[in-house]
Amino acid sequence: MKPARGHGRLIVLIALELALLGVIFARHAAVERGATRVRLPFAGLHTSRDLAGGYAQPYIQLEGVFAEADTARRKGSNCWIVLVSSEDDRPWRVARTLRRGSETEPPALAPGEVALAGYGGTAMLSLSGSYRLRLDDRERSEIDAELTRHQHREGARHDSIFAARAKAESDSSGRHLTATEYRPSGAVDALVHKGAIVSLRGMELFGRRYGR
Amino acid sequence: MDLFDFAGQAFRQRLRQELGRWRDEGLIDAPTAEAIAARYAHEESGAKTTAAAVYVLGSMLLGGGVLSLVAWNWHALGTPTRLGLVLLALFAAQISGHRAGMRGRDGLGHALLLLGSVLFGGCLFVISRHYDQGIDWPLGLLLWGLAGLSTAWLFLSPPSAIFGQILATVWVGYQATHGGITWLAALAQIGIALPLVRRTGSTTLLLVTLIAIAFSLGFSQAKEHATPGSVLVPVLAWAITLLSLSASTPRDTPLSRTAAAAGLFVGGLVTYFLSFRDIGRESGVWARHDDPAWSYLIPTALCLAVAGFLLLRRAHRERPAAIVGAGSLFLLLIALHLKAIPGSVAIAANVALAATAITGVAGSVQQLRRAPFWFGTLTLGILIVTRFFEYQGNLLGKAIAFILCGLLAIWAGSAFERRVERDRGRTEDAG
Repeated sequence: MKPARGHGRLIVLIALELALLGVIFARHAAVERGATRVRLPFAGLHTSRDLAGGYAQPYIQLEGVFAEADTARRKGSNCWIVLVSSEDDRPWRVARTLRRGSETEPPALAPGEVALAGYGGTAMLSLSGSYRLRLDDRERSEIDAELTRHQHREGARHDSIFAARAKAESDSSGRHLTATEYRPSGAVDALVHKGAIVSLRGMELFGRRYGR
Repeated sequence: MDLFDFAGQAFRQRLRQELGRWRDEGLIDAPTAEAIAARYAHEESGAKTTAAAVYVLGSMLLGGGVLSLVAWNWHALGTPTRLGLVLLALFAAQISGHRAGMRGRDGLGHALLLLGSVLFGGCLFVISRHYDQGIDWPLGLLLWGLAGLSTAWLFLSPPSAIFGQILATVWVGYQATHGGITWLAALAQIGIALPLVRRTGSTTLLLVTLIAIAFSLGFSQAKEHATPGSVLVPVLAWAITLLSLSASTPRDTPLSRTAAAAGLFVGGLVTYFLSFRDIGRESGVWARHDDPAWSYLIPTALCLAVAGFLLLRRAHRERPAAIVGAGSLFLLLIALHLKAIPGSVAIAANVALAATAITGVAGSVQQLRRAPFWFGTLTLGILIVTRFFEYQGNLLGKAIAFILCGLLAIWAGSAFERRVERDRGRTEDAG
C-alpha cells in the first residue's frame, strides 16, 4: 500500500466517487425528464431470449419488462420493446433492423410512446395477433426474407414460426389471438386490458395490419 | 511485496531454511545472510498472506451483505436515508482502510478499501431504484469498475485493482451484447492495468489482467455475424503473445512465470474444448457463415506481430514448452481458417496439447523441475482419458490402453522423483 503522508488521496478518492455517482444521477434524471431514452429495447431482447425455454418463467419476466415500459411511458420516456425467440442469432438481426437510420438507436418515437416489435417463434405468437409491427417496406421485406431463410435453414425444428405465420396471415380481421395456451401472449393481453400499455404504435407484418 | 504472492511465500520459506544451512556450512557470513534475508523479506511468514486472504473474504462478505440490504425491499426508508446509509458505510470503509494503511496494517487496509469499492456498487443501486428504472447496467458497471480502479491507483491496492479489472471485463462483455465495443477496450485495459502492476509489483494483479484481456478480446468479437472461430482466434493469438513473452524473458522472473501461467491457462482452456471432434467442427472461422465478420483480424495481427517480434528478439532455451506451445497454437489458429478440412481443428488442438505437454515433461526431466513435469503428465492424462471417452471403441482395447498409460505414468513419475532425489544427494555430497 502506498505510504500515506496526509489525507490528500482519500479526499481525491471521495471526490472522484461523488463525481461518478453524479454521472448516474444525471443519467437517470435525464431519463426521468424524457431527455434521453432508456435502454428498454435491449431489456426486452434479453428477457425474451428466454421465451422459448418455457412458459412459467417468461411470463413473469415479460410482465416485468412491460411494467418497466409502462413506468417509462408514464414518465414521458419512449421505448422500444423487442421480443425475439432464443434461436441462434436472431436478437442481433432484430436489433440491427430496428437501428436503421442510426447505429445506436432504434427509430425515433414520440415522447410517451411505447412501440413493440417481435420476431421469431414464440415471440411471434405472442405478438402477431395482438399487436402490430410498424415497419417500413424495406424493414418488412428484410424481416420476411430473413424469416423465410430461417425456415429453410432450420426446417421443421421451428414449427412455431410456421404456426405464427399461419396465424398472422389468417387473422386478417384484426381480432386478438386468444392463444391462452401461450402464456406470454396471455400476459401481453392481460397487461393491455389492465391498461398497463395503452400507447402502442400500429404495426404491420407481411403486408397486413393487425390488432386494434 | 505482493499481497497474495503464494509462490513467493514458498520461495521465502525455502530460502529461510537454506540461509541457515549456508551460514552453518560457512558458505556465507552472517552479514551476507542478513542482507539476503532483508532483500527477500524472509522474516515474513505465511500468516500475513492468510490474514490478507481472510480480510479480503470478510470484506467481500460484508459488502455482499450491505448490497443485499439495499436490494431488500426497504420501503420503510426513503431514498435519501438509504443513500445516506450506504454512503456512510462506503466512506467509513475507505477512511478506516486509509487509517489502517497509515499504521502499517496493509492487509486490513487493502481489505477495507476493497469493501469500499464493493459498497460503491450499492450506491449505484440505490440511485437506480430511486428512479424506479433498474440500473443501467453498462453505465453502472463502467462507473463501478472506474471507482475500483481509482481506489487502486490512489492507494496502490491490488485487491481493488483486481475487482475493478473484473468489473471492466464484465462491462466489456455486457457492452458487446448491447451493440458496441471494440477490441480497443482490451488495449485500454492493458494501458490502465500494466502501469498499476508495475507500481504495485503484484503478480496476482498481472495474472488477472492478462487473463481478463483474453476475455475482453473474445467478448469484443462476439457480435453480429460472429462465428465461434472469429471469437476464439484473437484469444488464441493473445495466448501466443503471452507464451512468446514468457519465452523471451528469463525463466525465473515474475513476468516470465506469470505470462506462461496466463498463456497456458487461456490457450489450454480454448484448445481443450476445440480438441473435441464435434466442437472443433463447429468452431471454425467459416462455421455456419460464408462471410464471417473480419474485425478480429486487426487484434489478431497485432498480437501475432508482437509475438513474432518477441520470439525473434530473444527466445530463452530454458522455456521450450512455451515456444512449442506458441507454435502449436499458431497451427491451431491456421486450422480454424481451413474451410475445406472439417476435422483439422480437433486434430490441431490435440496435437497442440500433446506437443506442449510432452515438451514440458521432457524439459522438466532435463532441468529436474517438478511442477512442469507433473503438470505436463496431468495434461497428457486428461487428454488421453477425454479421447477414450469421446470415441466409441472396443472396450478391451480401451482397458489395455488405460492400464498401459497408468503403468507408464507411475513408472515415469517414480523415475523422475528418484532422479530428483539422486541429484539432491549429489549436490549435498559435493557441498
